Amino acid sequence: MQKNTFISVVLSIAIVGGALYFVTKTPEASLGNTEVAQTQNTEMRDGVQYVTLAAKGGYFPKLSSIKPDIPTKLIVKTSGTYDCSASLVVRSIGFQKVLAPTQEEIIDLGTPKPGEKIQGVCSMGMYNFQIKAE
Amino acid sequence: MKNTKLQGENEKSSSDVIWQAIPIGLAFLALFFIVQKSGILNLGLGGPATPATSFIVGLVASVSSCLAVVGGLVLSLSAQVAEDDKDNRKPFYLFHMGRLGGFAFLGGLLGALGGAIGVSFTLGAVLGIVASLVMIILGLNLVGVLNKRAVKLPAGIFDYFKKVEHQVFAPLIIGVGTFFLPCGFTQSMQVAALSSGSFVSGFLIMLSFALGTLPVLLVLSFGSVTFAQSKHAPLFFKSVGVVVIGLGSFALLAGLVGLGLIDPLFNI
Repeated sequence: MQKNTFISVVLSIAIVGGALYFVTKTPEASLGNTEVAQTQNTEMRDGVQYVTLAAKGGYFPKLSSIKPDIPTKLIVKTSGTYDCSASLVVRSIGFQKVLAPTQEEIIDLGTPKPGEKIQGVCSMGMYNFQIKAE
Repeated sequence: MKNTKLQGENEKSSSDVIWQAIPIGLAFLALFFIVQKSGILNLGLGGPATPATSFIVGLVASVSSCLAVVGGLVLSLSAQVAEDDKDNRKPFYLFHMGRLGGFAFLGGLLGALGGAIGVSFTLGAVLGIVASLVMIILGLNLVGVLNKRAVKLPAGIFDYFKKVEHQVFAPLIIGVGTFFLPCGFTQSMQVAALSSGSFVSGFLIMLSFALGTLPVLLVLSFGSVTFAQSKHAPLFFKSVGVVVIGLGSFALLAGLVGLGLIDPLFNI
């Protein structure tokens, strides 16, 4: 029995460790979502700063940085998105909406102060993103 | 004397079973999270929602992270029912009928009423947290932690479950209630039904979605009965317990993040 316990504990640790290694790899490295992550995702147009995120199986890029003290809008692009990332909640500005499967949602973030963090999650909470003003 | 020896052997074999169940359960959990992470499930489905696309979305949803909530709940309830009375299949039929009927009818209502009713995020998140707590409690019970330690509080809950298992109403209601459980796919389909503009189209969209999720849920519920009647029943129940505790904890943490009560801990 002690041998079984030992084998069981070793196996369990191996499984959990392996899964953690796989799951905690950076989301950018996972399949198919590389395009947005590696390019600059903010741009200035008519004095407004736009941050663009792709929403499908999570939000990409997961971390964005913007310049503070500029009126800022967030563009969330869905493309054939039916998963949780389509139902977006940005609590700090009171935004919650289920996005259409393919659309671009423009969300006004106001004028973020230096050091402000804007956190978005999907309604079930398993996907999230953060935008930092710095 | 013979009795105590027998009892000793039983205890020994039951503690052996748990040591087998933990790696089996963890392996299933690991597989689940790896599949989520791999991005296999992020199929591109363009165009407007038709009953056919809703069905496919349902198929995908039934193996997606929604499985953590809806599937976990079905699995834990089924295993609990099967453990108490392995020949009692009535609750399963009622649950699936309630789910299909509820999705179809509520989808029809969404289509007919249009924007008049919104599906509340907060309600969904609260129900999701309740469902995950039920899963964790049932999981602990299946593993056998609660039985041995004689935890006082859940005793009443289990008596209640035993009564409920033989009723008609409760499984039906739980089936209908899964409409409101948090699941991104369900919400997308609800919005599609909402904007479909008529009772019939909303009805068809949600019914096809629920039909798409049916195969996996049928396997979970009737699979539990099949295993409950086999000689591997103790190992099965304990492994399910481990899986359900894992999924329940995941759903609970995610639900708290969704409500903004805690910071995100993970991003699968």
